[in-house]
Amino acid sequence: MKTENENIHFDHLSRKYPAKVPEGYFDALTGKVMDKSREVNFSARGKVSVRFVKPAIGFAASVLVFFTLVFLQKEKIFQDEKQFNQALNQTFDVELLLKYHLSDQTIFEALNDSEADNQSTNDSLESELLASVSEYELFDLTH
Amino acid sequence: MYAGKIFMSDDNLIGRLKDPKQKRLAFHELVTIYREKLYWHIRKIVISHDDTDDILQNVFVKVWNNIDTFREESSLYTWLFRIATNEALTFLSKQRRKRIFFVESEEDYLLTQLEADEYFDGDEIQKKLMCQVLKLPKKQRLVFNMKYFDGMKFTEIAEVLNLTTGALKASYHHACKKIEEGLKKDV
Repeated sequence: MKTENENIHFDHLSRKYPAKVPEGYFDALTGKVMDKSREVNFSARGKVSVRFVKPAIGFAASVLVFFTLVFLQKEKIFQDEKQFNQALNQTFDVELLLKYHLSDQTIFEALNDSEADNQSTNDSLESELLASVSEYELFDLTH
Repeated sequence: MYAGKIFMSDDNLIGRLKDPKQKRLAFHELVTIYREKLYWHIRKIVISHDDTDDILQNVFVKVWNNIDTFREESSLYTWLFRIATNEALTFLSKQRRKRIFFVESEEDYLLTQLEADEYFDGDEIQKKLMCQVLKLPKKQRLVFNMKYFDGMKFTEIAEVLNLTTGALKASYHHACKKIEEGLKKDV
């Protein structure tokens, strides 16, 4: 193995790298590097605030998404419940109508009165029923 | 040569670089001390002056950002040379990826850079020597540059490249042989 003092055949050539730099390059370089380090410092400060803001935004977004989902689900549940109650009322109304042999005209009006709200429909049906059933039957019906 | 006389005050410089109050002034000092050595080290790897300029600025920015994490397990100059070497080699890798569609080897790319280098001021024989150097494998080229042109000791090169001195001596020996043979053929 040759050593550090190895005799190289092209050793007569200059050991200086054969190139130059533009005039005043190194002096200008120091200034450029110092400016860059200042820029880095400035952007690093921005990065620090972003580092703290980012998780906060992420957390807020997660909370928002969570509550939106919960709200929508709750709305859906209430809507289902409402529909169920309406269906139950209607079934109950139809059963009553059929059970107590009301006139066809009354049944028709009760079922197709789309403009009247449910409460008023129910009230009118109730008064119709009360008018047509005996006290015994009424007692049996309400208990 | 490198570590001995020029960088005797490195410990003091590192201390000031890590002190927020003195950091900027100490960094200015560091840039002034090392700019030329690092420049020529990078220039020999990437050849082009403009590329060297970009890489060197990145090296100093990295030093500025990471000086607090420098654990002083190696000397400052070794650390700087290591960063510079890595940055230059990373640059060449990126260039290789960009050239993938042009089927141009790294050697061809560097030879083109040498041909186009308006700041090259060597004579014909020096140009031939450089062409032979650029034909060397990457590791051998690095070792040759650091030993032949920079006059660094094998122990110093070993620290920078993280290789054993035995491996470095072998690399340098092979590099010299190849260059000699190449120059003989060329003449």
